[in-house]
Amino acid sequence: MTSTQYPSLRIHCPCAEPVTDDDDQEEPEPDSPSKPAPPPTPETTTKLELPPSLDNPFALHTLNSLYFCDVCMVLRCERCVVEEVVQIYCPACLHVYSADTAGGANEASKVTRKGVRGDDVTFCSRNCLQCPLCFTNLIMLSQSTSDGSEASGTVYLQCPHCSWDSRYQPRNLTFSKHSSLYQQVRKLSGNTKADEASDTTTTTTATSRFAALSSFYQQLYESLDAEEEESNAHSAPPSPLFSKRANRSLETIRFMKSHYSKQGGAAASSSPSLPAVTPASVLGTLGRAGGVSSQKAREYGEKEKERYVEYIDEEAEEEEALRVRDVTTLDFTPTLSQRLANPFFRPARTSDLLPLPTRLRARRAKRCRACRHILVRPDVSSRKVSSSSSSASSMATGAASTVATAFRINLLSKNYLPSLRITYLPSTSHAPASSPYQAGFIPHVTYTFVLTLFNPLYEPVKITLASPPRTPRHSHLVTFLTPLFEIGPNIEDDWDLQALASLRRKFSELKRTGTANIPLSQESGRGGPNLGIIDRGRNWTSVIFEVVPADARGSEIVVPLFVSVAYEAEVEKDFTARGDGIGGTRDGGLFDKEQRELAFWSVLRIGKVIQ
Amino acid sequence: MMSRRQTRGEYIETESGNRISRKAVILGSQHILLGGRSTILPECVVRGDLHRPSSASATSSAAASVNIGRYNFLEKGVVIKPPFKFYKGSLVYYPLKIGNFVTIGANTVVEAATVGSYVKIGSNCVIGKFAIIKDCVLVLDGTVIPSAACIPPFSVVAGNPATVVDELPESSAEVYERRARQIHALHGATLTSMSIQEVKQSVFDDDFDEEFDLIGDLTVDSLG
Repeated sequence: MTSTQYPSLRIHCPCAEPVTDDDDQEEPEPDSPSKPAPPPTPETTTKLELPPSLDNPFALHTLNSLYFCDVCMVLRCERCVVEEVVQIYCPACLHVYSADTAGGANEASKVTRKGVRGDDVTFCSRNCLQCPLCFTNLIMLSQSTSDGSEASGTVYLQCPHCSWDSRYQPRNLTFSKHSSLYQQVRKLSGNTKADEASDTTTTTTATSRFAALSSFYQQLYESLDAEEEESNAHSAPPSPLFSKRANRSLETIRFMKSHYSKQGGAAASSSPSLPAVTPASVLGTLGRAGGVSSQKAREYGEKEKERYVEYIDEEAEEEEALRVRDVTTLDFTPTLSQRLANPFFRPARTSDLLPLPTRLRARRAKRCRACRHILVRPDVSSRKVSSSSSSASSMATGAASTVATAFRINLLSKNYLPSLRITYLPSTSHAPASSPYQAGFIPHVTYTFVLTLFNPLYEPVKITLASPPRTPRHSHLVTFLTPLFEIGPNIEDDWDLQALASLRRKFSELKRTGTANIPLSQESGRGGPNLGIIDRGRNWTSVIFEVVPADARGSEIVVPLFVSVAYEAEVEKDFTARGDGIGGTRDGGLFDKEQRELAFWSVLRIGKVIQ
Repeated sequence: MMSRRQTRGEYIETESGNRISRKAVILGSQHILLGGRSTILPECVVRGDLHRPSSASATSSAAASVNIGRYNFLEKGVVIKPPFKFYKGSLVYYPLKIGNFVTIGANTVVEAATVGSYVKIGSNCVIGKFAIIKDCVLVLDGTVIPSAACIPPFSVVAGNPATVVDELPESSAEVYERRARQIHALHGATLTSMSIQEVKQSVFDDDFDEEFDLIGDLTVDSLG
């Protein structure tokens, strides 16, 4: 669904451009919204240069995926916005864990990540668990007792997709309570780790070490969190970009240094009887890192060796070898994704897998990276994601809501920039009538296309199209017959329905009669300003362009197209600057006219030349 | 409920602008609510006859077993069937509700409890019993949504079983609304049984259903 369909049109976001010092012409100014844009007339004969990143796939976007900053008057892509978490919710039960209810438009919002019980909310702490095999949400069923009543309260889990059952051997999981299954499973997985450590000797060292290390980092993380909160309480809240959280790696290094300088000496004296890993022992294995003498490190190494030998159990190893010898199929091993879902407990068999907790999802606000103006802000004050709860099967009457799509602010490029659409017109004389997208383009044959532009703005706009006469790589010839034209304002909501009906009629007629009747040249008498304009409606215009493929067999026809939109916008008058603000409004109106210009590069991929 | 008046050959157009193909199988039409300007293509099956037994006499909107909103478009061979489960030993059907501006691709079977608004379901999908699809969701072709699953808003789901593979941008509600209106208008001009893509490409060649930047490589690790 990505690269094979022709024709396609993508819009280039300049954020992928390398940063240069000189003031580039096509680089939009990030600030000064009041400054009038340079006049869009062709007299400003600045040489348009193709942006170097024009053929980078990550710099090209569909119009619907782009944002628009109305302060900078520049389009913004996913890569050049800053995201802020506004709300965290569970994707399975839609329970909202935290929401930024204050929602000031300008203050840096901060969502607490603390859950009810004081630890970080990463997982849904209710009954939402996922199948360890296929990651479907598990459903909770009550175990029928001998007398058939459902009052026993014992529940088990089942996957509605793959029929995985929590009562499978050897786990045989049932839950005594039907609430907070997450806690019960968590407790269980804790026990499992301990069990593993006690009976399977081969994994002892690794597992216990991993556990110790993870607890060490947990501790580190917590202490850093505490530190950060403390500093936040004293000073003004830092901007999210430069928070300590962002500088965590630096912080970690600093913390480790101080930690080791305190405890470094203790390594040699620690008791060798346990395979416990203290930060000091980590240091020992690292050797010289924290200023511990090489002698101490050597001593430590000796001890480690002894300790490891101590834990080799020959009997168990033999058992394991026998077990491995009898393995004929690897069906019981978990797949990579199943393993990755359990990073702390590495199951060797699928039967060992435990139900997975459900990760929470976030709704985010987006800001312009240059001016920090909010581009998108979900409306969370009026809604919970959903009010219904508990097991999914009981949610048959899920609250139908339109609120999921509610935004307080939603600045999208599709409401500012014209949308472009392409249609191929078979010419009766030259090009074959069948669709050339699949069949391929024949070199040196003129193909005629229609480019239709829709104006989403409430003002009439002047469009300037520019394209290199020959495409950069394979020098296919491209001619836009009408580089300058106007499009009317978008004043009626039903615009594209009327346009579509009209265009459909026009195009089917043209496809039948061929392009012979279109005024393509001056001598047809209908030249002048309407040359190459096929049709126009209230807020759309269809213009012709021609492509003559070069003799580069198998090459792709990629047309860079520069679109510039100039219009006169009404902006609110700045009354603070004038003394007699109110008096002037009567006849002068509340608005001033202002010239604006929007410009962007787009990439039109038309098709391939035949082999 | 659906006062039928004949307009042009293949389609029946109701007063509220719904177009229903004469070749579609509509069962229990007194239990089906169509919001208006929705289109049902040939070979579709809408099972209004599968309703709660208690509601057999009632004709209020609460009794409807299939509730389809405005500007929906069901391509060829879509099956809409209310979900059932066993309750106190007997088989009980529950109502199925589909929001507005929803398009459902060819040969998809829908047994969901709720499908929100601004949803695009691809072709050859299976939407399991009592599944809930929230607003602004894209279900790619061939997806199997397990029963009782819940798809959060602004998700793109794919695979068997369905997993969330991507996220829809904030424009998706507007885009899907415009798309549904376009399809309705264009279908009205032709009144054929073309698929959505064919309908849209009858005007613009590049108007295939790729409205957003989505991650192209949808490798979902399946069970097999």
